[in-house]
Amino acid sequence: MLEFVLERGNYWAIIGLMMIGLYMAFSSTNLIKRLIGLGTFQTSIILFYISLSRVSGGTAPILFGGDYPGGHGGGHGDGHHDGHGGGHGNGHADAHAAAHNGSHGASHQGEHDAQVAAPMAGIDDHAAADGHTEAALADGDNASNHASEHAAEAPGADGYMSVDGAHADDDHVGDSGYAHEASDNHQVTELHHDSGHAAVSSYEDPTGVVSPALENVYSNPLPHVLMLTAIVVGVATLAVGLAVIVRIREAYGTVEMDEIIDMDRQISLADDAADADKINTVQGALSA
Amino acid sequence: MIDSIHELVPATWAVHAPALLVVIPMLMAPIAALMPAGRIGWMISNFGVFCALVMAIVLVVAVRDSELGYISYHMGGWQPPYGIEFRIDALNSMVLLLVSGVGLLASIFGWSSVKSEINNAKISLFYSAYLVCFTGLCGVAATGDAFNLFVFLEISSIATYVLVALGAGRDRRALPAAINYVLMGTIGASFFVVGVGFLYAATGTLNMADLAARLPDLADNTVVMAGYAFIFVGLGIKAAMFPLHQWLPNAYTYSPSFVTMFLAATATKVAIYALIRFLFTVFGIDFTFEGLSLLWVLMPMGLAAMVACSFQAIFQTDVRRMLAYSSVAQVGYILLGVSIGTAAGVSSGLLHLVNHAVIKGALFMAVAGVLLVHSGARLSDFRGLGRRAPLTMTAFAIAGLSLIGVPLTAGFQSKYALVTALLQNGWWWAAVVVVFTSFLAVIYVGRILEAVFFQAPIGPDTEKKRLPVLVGVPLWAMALTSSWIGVDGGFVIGLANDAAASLFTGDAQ
Repeated sequence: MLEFVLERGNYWAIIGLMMIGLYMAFSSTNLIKRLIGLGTFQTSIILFYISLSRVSGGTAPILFGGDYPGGHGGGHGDGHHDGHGGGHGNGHADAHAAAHNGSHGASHQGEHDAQVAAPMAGIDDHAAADGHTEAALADGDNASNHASEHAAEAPGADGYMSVDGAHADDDHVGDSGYAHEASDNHQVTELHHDSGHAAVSSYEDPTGVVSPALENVYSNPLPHVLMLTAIVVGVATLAVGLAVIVRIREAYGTVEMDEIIDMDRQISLADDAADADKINTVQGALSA
Repeated sequence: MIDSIHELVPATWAVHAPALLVVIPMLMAPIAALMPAGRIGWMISNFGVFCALVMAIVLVVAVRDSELGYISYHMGGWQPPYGIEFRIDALNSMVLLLVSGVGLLASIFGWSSVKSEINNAKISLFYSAYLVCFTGLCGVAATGDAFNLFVFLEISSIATYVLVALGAGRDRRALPAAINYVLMGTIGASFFVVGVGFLYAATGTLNMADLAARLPDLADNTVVMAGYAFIFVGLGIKAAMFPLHQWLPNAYTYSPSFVTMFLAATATKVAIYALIRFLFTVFGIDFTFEGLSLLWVLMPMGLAAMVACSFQAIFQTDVRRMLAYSSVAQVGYILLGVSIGTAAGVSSGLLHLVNHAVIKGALFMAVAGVLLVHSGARLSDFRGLGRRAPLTMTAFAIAGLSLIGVPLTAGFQSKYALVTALLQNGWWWAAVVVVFTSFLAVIYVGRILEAVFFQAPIGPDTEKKRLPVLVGVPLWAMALTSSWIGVDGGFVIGLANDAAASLFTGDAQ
């Protein structure tokens, strides 16, 4: 449980920021504070998108010979999505961080789906349960080329494929573009699938701990671009809001919403009273 | 008639119609802003919106004649899942026709109305903001990309905030109304964009057709459900769905007449369109979570809006505020139709969407005419107007009867379709509520009509005054359109049926 919380620290921060912003936007009577709350809320959304953009083990969307142009539809059709990617992926701090990203970023680009196709060995509750996930797992004794054969077969396998009866625990996962060979002593061998070839490279740390520096964390540019747009929109909204507040200050002499509501209520009551007077006068005149 | 207009447009233009529809008004906006005289700004606005209307007509014909049932326009030639796609099908083209048609009438009508309510130096800027707002609404209706929809939604909203705040020249209460709208509207749009973020996380795509193809595999995914909830609430705020409608009555009451008229007829309608698009195209009716939300959220909220807001409308003393509450109630009818979740239900909702836009447009134009020529828009100001402003008030009465749903009016057509769809689905109790709230509409419309035709006027202002032609013509165009739909609704009903059918045959995939 604690691990679950800590792994997703950035998302908790975003949720917290979002709630603080919403609370400010609704609870404060001061209009400027309300706009600040709105700004906080929008900032949390920007951070949310930026969090989504961190794809462990992704690569830039460069198309190779056979990938273009049909890759997208085909890859998708096979249903190699683990789906829960965005929700969980980026909180993982080390070796198992590569887990869930297959669904966004990389798989979107199509070529991963179509060519590499192998995929997400998610050994987390969701992944195991949803049946879309292929796992290529091998015992620590297996040579890496052994794993590569199985990785290549992985797309055909339905569900959970374990090699040599090896069982993996929650710490060992692979993702699209990589097949992680997981063993009990935390050795991870990564297989790069580039343009259909399985180029094998292995990162092993003598201590048995995989260094985060070896992680290939890729920043998907698309969410960043979306957020540049959202920032422009947010700035424009804030500017319009502040301009309206300036006008309110000129017209009412205050920026406190409750005082403004009071003043408006007085006006409405006066209007209604004036109406009643006018109607009484007319009816009086008619009856006289 | 629409075919002949289609033939007049050169083929090279027709190919780019989806883009031109949005681009022409957008380019006109800065040009209008630079004009020193409001008159030229008005002409530019009319030109921009007229071009958009022509393009919308071209699209309606093109969609009807297309084999696929939709037109896909690739922005900049990029293939759809990667680039931004404008996808026009029967539903979009209907909404685009509605928005640009109402937009043109509104723009023509602005000549006298805007001149009387807006400071002379700002009239060009006003039309510029109007064109930006119009661009945004057309963009929302035309785009096939979820994030692009957010951007257009915000373009139109930001322009709308400015337009609402400009009502401050007449009544300073427009300013708090505008800032409330800024807060609510921005939160709504932000919720929407969070929802889109969740969908992107789950599927890795932003293209709506692509999302529609990928989401069925992820039906049980909690990320998708969270995304659905955020999008539903976000668009619900924009569409003034019942408990989220608090921004609407003040915004409609205090903004300039022109803005009220245009917003009432289009802004919430486009948001409802976006909601329908997400409910039925992107998520699809088979998405279980959606079925539950239709039954347990959309339908009760629709009924609650119809009852609660009709009652609130009865007790208003300001005619514009009364009509604003009525608008929320009418949104309830539309959402009730949509919540049935069948082609007949959605079709009745869409029909009411169009009819209500025409009816409310006519009503608010008539109120604007009263504001322009006579004293104010309070119920007491309407007393005896039947004698002093017979033409305006006759048009008002036609639209008012249509709002109630008297036979031979547009309102009757859509309420009839709605009740039929409800009964087909076995929701007889909802049909009872529809009839009941129609009686509530009789009361609030009746209050106005009684004051207009059967009560003595207040004050010395008893001579007849002429309504400017540029207000009278669009007003009567709207009122006659609503009667025409009521008498021979074939064209609009056909559009609504095609639109609903296109949602349920799944041609988006």
